[in-house]
Amino acid sequence: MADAIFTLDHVSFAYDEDAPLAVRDVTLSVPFGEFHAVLGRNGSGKSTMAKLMNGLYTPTEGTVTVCGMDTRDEKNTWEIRRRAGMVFQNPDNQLVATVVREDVAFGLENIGVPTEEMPGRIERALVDVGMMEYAERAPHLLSGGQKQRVAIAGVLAMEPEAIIFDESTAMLDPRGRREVLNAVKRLNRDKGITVIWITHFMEEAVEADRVHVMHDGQIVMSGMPREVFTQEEKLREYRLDAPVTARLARRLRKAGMPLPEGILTPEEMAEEVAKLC
Amino acid sequence: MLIRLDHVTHTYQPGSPFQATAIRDVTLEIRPGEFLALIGHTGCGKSTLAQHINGLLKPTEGRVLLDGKDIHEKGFSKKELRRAVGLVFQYPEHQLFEETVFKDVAFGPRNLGLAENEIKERVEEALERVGLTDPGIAEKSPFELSGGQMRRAAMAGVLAMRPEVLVLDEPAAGLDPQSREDMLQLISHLHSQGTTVVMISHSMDDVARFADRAVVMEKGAIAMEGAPEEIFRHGERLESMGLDVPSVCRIGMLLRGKGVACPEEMFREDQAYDALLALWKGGKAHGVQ
Repeated sequence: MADAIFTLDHVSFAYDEDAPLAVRDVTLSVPFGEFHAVLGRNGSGKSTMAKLMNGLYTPTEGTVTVCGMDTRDEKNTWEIRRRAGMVFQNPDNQLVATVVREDVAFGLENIGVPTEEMPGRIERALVDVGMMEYAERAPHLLSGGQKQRVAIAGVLAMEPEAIIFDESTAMLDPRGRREVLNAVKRLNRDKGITVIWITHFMEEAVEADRVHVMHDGQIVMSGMPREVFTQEEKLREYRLDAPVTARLARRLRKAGMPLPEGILTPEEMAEEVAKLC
Repeated sequence: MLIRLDHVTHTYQPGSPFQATAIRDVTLEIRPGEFLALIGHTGCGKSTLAQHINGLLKPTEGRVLLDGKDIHEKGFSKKELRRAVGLVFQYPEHQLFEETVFKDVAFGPRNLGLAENEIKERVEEALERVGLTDPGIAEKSPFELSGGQMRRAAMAGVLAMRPEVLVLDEPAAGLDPQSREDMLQLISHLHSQGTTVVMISHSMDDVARFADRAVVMEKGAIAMEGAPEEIFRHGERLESMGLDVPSVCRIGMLLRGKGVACPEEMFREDQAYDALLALWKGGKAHGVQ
């Protein structure tokens, strides 16, 4: 598909020859500019899939392409990683320099960006994540959410087309989580950056364009958030839980309350209940 | 046993350029058998406070009293205090280090100088309580376990000391939904068996479900204190402090903002179910479509 940034075609992956498959026969295509959330319990294969999507791992079977480039072809590796950046879980493991600005510069030096181009790129990236005022600060004095935003700026400075977030909010407090997710939503909306958002917080997936649920290495559910989160039994089978509001809406409908299907957020719920009062 | 923090202030590195006061004039009683939640965003001092409860940190000012005795006074047995008050740090699995799960859980009891058969009994009991009962699991390396299992193994190490008070710093952080729920059920079960629980949590839904009492910290001081229903009645204030409110609490706030007479007593899912159904039935009675 020409308009897909990521394509996975019958992809399987095992960590070594005798190991069970961590990803099994996954076929997926992500169009440019979309926000896709990937959910699943620990060990479901979602992090492995993320690493297959920017060539950190290459498939045991099947093909992964990023912007049309096969991840197995080694000459594509650097270009793929530049175009599809990755942000990990632990903010403390991702920052390397003693000043925020230098940290963002780190990746640029690695890919040989001309020195005179660097300040502009760094500043644009820091502005995009709302961290420009911290450019001269020491990263270790920042909050978790701020550190993650600096890590995102480091990826953004490479001018990627997509960013893959591998549970990048798992270690943050609610305020940090909101900060990071809002920054990412903005990048997706305003800059058209494709986002792969791997998480086990259901609430973080309710505004995604598409949601994929992984279980035992396979994609077992795929659809718009409304389609996925209203299938409560199926989610429970995969040891996931619908967001509290979705569950409450379903129970109320069952009791006869005429709420429309697919309520996921407190805002939607309040809106609909108010109409009935 | 009754633990009381009496006007406790803690300043890190006093007198140095890095001097920072983490908690300021905190007075708090931890009542036997209660389930107390400590809430506040990162940096509010709640972890510093937690480490005063078992004497790991010493107050710069004020006192920590156990059944009326100052724990930092000469002659007070810190050893017994550390046994009686089990502290489970954030991401406790990072502290697993032994070759086998058994040895890791046995570490604390062994330090108490217990006999080998007593150690074995305690380890088995602790593993059973946290649900690590698969055959052979005790002889595995802790690093072969899944994330959720590692967390439970670390927890077993604390339970093997048979503490009367458990202080847990975000015990469910980073776990997937099912492991989270298992962990919370385990804590709730320990509480129902008589263990006093102090739990630091960012999840207001968890606080609403489990806590008898909640303390909200802001900038090193206690900002609010009370039963969850009292705390969550002040949803706007919590939000202004950068904290979440339970999702159903938020529904209530939004409805009241729209002029709907939604009760304030709504912070758990079951309460919301009843309240919203009642609102709809009331609306129907008044002929609203």
